[in-house]
Amino acid sequence: MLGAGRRQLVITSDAFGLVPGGMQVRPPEFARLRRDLARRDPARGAAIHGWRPAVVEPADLRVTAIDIDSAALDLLERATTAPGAIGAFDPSRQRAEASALARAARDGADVADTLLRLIGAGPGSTPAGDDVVAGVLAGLRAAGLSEAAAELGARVLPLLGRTTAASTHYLEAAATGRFADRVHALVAGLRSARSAPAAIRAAATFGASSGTDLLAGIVAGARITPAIRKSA
Amino acid sequence: MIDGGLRILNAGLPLIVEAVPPADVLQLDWRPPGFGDPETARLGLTLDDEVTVAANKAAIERVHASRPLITGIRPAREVVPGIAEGRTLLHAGPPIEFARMCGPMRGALIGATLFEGWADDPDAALALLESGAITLDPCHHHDAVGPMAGVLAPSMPVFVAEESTGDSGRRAYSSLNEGLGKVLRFGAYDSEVLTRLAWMRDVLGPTVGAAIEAAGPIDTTSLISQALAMGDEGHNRNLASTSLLTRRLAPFIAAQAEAAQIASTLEFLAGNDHFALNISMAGAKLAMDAAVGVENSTLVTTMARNGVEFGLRVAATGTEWFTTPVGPADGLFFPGYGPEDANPDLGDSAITETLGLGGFAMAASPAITRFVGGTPDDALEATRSMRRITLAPHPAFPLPPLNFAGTPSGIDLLAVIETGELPMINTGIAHKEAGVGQIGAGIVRAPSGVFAQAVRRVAELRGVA
Amino acid sequence: MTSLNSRVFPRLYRDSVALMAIASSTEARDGVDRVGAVMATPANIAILDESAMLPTGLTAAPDDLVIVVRGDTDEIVAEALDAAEAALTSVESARRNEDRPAATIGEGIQAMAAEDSDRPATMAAISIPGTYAAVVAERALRDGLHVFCFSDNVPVEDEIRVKGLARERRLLHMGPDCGTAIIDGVPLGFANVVRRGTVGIVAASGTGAQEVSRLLDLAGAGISQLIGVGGRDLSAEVDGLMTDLALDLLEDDADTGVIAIVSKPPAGPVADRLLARLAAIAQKGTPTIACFLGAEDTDGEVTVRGTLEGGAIAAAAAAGHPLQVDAASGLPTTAPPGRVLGLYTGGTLASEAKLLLKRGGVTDAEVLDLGDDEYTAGKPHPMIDPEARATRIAAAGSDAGVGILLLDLVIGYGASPDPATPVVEAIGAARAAAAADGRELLVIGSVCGTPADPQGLDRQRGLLEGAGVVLTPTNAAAARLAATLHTTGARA
Repeated sequence: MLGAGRRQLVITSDAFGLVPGGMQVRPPEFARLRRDLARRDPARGAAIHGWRPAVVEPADLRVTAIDIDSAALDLLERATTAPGAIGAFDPSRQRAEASALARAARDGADVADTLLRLIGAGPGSTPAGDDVVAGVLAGLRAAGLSEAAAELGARVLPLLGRTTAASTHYLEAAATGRFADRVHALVAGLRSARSAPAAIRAAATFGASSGTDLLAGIVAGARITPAIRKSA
Repeated sequence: MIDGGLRILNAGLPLIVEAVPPADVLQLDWRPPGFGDPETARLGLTLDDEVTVAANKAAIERVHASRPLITGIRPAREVVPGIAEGRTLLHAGPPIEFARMCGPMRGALIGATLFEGWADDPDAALALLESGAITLDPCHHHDAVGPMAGVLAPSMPVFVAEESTGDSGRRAYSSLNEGLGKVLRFGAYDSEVLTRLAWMRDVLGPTVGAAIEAAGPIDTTSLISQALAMGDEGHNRNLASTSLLTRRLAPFIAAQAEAAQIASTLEFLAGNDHFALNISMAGAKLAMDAAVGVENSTLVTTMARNGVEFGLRVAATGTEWFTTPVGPADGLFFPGYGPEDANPDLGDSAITETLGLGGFAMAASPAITRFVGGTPDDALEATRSMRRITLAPHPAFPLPPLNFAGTPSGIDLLAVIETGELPMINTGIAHKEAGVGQIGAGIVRAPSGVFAQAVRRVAELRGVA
Repeated sequence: MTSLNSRVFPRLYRDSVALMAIASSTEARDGVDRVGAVMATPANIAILDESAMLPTGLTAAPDDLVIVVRGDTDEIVAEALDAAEAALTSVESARRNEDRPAATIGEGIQAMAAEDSDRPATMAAISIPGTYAAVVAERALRDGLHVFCFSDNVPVEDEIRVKGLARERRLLHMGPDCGTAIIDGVPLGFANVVRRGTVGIVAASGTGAQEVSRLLDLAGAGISQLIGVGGRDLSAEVDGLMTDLALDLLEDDADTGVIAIVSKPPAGPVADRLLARLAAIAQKGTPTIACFLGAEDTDGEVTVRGTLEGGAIAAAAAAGHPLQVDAASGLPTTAPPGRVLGLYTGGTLASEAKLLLKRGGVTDAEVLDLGDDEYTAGKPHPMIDPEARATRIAAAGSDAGVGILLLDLVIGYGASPDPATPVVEAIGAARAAAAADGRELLVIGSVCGTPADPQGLDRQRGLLEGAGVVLTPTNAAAARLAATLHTTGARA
């Protein structure tokens, strides 16, 4: 009686933010769940047996077109050079592909090779290349290029077998226009030079390099927009 | 003076045995037995003697010897005892009056009343049900079981499970699974539901029934055993058993005349991952019924919920129910729903756990644990923990992840009382309002109260209370 | 020529920050050139290949974590991979379920048999709440285990039932409320490390049995067994159910040459029956001593003694190791004025002191058993936690009516690791308070312990002597000295 087969329910606290298809719970509940999961109390069997979440509110996690500020874009772009190498794996290699991917998506050009190089590539349990792709998808939507984003999303879906289960979950949602709270926090940085620093600080705290990888994608996607507002 | 030397089990303070070589001490993780009630603990211990042990051995042997065969699908009125008398509808769980029933069960009964043509509209059906003109009785009193609301009406088709071993003549019945979404078992009764029920009565039942007759009886033990090796646990995951069943029957369905019926039947089977659940339930019911009435046996023969109360029956006390109010299942909810929406735990499907499937066979089904937030390790642990309260591994249900040890089978009331370990039941969570459907899934524990009641009654019967 | 190898961790997720830490610490090892720690996706396998980091034959799926190391030699690479794996799995094992600990007697029996099938469980030690103790004890007895039941507050009807069952199966049920036993040389509960010898003790009293057994150690006689039966065993209701069985077992025990019973005086008919039984045993050649606290000393087939000291002396003599408890030299001959205050942690020791003070003509002595429920009030027993008594000792210094303080000090297993120190500190405070008031305080006591006890008998005695405590060899001697000084040696 589990509905449509296997579903991954990602439970997060406000420290991580909501993710598509997941649920966010208050910190005490989260702490309890995490403790129970870690402990897997043998006497009670199921790790989260007995959990009674408070009122559940659905959330809209779509990214829609916003006004993009050129100065903010410059600030964010500069931040995407932050290092995040794990051993021999350097995410700058995946970040470098972001602009080409965004342009190709806008122009309806062939993205197959680029996606093959990016999906599942790079360090992290959500590999850096996946974060870059998710970022480009979000950036394109923020720039108002939702058709190009949808088109790119459709190209991404068949390649999901090439990456990890966690990444598959995020990318599947991103392909259909839904993004985790933390992506929204980065996208919000595009609005003005004043909102950018908070986004940059936030990016630095997401995993070892995930935040910066996402940011690289977002910037690349957002740069494509025909209408970037010049800062006053 | 002590033969074999001092080898100590320590219940309580480690200080007491600090002078004993550590290798000769096993510190017990002792918890108060009897769910914290010394009297219950004492009764449980008093009953745990040679008489009970022998009775339980006999009872579990009967259960494990049972080899139910699904021999066909018949209209309930032709086969289910008593259902054709007057106007009778059956429901899940222990007995309950209409006025006290939960939303989904009331909705399902309204739907069944409409389906039988006893009323023309929902209001009239409700009035009829409230008037008492329709006899309402538990499925379990009629050799039957039904998931969730478990409502069974005379016109509905049922699987017929028959005993293939020496104990022949016994039968058990279960409804046909409607699939997910808007369905009667969650209390929905609009035209979509009634139309599907009619199709099941007119097309699905006869078509699949004929296929079974043509293909030969379905051995439920063998079907579930194969499915356990393919990731099912026989209660909440029925993908493998449904696929195996469909594979077995498809040629015989296809051999039938009407193309439209073949297509719609196969399409339905392909779209309903839970179709074989009801076969698992009918098989489990027949197997457990083999132990009903075994004198002095503390084997649990029934666990069932009616959405208001949890009901337990034990071999020694025959058809007597022990009931206690049941809360909503705890678990994970689909987005948009929470515990405040949940109906108290519901359905006869816990008959699968009573036999040792479902929550007891979690080790076979990592996919289930993953859904409820656990890991394959948790699944193994869940199954291992149920060994503490069961009489024997089921010889025909080996679990590959546990080196093909049989699934823990046959809950011993006394072991539940001594360990405080409550049976683990996999369950879907129904919305408390009729017809909304499933809103989550999780794992529930049988409530301790019914076990305490049962041990008192068994002790009375034995004259040791 | 460098070496390249990898290790795959199926379906293992680690926070990327943790992976980064592991990768960089692995890369920092001597002789390691490069490290890759990534999810084994096709794209990453391709990257590994391009950068000459793909070991031949690597098979993994996208959800697997792979760690690749290139280093100078095979050994260096293997060690680096071991270190990386250790770092990864140290997180893992901390989260893994331990095997479920056995919770019930039945599970415990299985677990112990699984450990060593030749050495199954033989006894259950029970110190759980008294309402459940009989249920657990009964389960243990049915499964063939002896029982040591430390729990108190067990209803007497439960005690009768389980002891009846134990008798039937010829299993010991020591207790309930059994504080002491030494079985086959192994101390249980509160017990001293007593040398093995020939005296078998059956005890319905905890510290009484400790005092007798440690005096037998002092005498060089030692004990064969010390079987506790619980304080109620010789009551009219329980009727010596377990004492009878214990005597049976001691009679059959090849190591036992002398049998002593330590108890309060039993209920009348029980005492008669028991003495008759002891006499019968004595007739068969095993000397028997009935140490019934407060009874009149008599010598007959059964030697009856009314003090622990007397019982120990008689048993030691019967075992051929006479006990010398001559008064130590240099004992005080005078004492400050004021009454005798006894502050005891051992219940039977307190009773013995009371008895001897009374016999010595002291009528105004006050002897408290601080282990009694009345004083513990839910706190740990003063033998485990000496603080409560220390507070009372210190307070005695301010009581102008107290001249002599009488103490016990029980060491051995179960007791506080250093009971003397808080006593010494409290005596210092008490003396200071008395001195400030122009008074003195004489402290007399004895230590119930053996040289082999974990606390160290000499060290504990030394601490007390350093604080000016007059130590006597036995508790009885301490009480007698207090009585003598109080009645004849009080300074004006």
